[in-house]
Amino acid sequence: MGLFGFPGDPGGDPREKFKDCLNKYGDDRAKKNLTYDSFMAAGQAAATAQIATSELLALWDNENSLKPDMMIGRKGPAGEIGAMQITPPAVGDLSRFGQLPTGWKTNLLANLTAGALYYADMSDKYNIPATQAAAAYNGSPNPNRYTGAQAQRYQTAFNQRQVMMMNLVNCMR
Amino acid sequence: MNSNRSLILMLFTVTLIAAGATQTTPGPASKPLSAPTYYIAIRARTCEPEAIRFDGASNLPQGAMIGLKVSEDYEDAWKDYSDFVNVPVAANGFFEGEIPPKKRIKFHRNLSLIADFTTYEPQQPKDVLDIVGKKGRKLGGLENPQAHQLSGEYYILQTIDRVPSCGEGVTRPAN
Repeated sequence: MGLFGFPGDPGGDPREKFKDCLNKYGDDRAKKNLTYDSFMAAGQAAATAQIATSELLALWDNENSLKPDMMIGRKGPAGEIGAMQITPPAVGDLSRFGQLPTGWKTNLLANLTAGALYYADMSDKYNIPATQAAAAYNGSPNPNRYTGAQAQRYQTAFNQRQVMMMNLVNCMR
Repeated sequence: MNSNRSLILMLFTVTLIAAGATQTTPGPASKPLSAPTYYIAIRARTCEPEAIRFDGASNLPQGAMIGLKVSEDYEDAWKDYSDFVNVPVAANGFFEGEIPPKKRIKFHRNLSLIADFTTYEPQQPKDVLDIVGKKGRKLGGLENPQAHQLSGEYYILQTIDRVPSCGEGVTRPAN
């Protein structure tokens, strides 16, 4: 096994393999924005939170199209920060559970890890079904919010993107 | 014969001067220019420890509020040296202004001037939102190299310029 659950391939260049897999399975957004280093960072963050890499990549794609330069210094409309658009309530929850990674505001890997942990909390801490976890990540664990139209659109987009990301991750194995 | 030669020489000289003037005199474009999508262009004109002056141009609608701040790169993000200053795009597409540093901070060279346009902060005029969309969906999407997607459904524009020397190393000449 290689790093973060991806089997090693001592005979090949993993970056070249990533390019091939991305060309084969990625859509235009992924081809434009997802880099090998970002992919590996997502794998590391997902492993820390014990979620699938494809789930984290689909969340990141939903939030801001997988752009690695997303620590852009402008908060989102509800005060969201960074690649995973961590909201103030999410920061509160992660702090309360002792999970908030150091440097989550300024370090891409830490921000990805914060997002992965918060997503895992939807199931682990709030008992939200896996089929609604992305909607809850977007809308909050409050059922009145995550069952709303916007959160459900988010869940639908997540489901579609996760299929693509699963193909990409499997290709890298 | 001599007068004819003088006349020809004079006409040639006048033509050369006119051609030179046409080529070297900068000025506004003679016809409206187009861009493939919305853009913001900025320039940090001057820097002093207590103020950075900037100007810029944009084809965003007149009255669109551009937010600018001064920051320094830090890890994958930014360390802010100022708060946002908001300026409107004028009818001619230009804007300008000045940014003070945060309290107990002085500007120095090689900082970054960051400008962005969002539909939610500061509040934009209604006619601007009618044109670009309440969530910025008409800003050109991700084909626009200045566009970023935030919080799933919002689009913003952002661009960066490098702050010039703030007078470091300059000493007052001895009298």
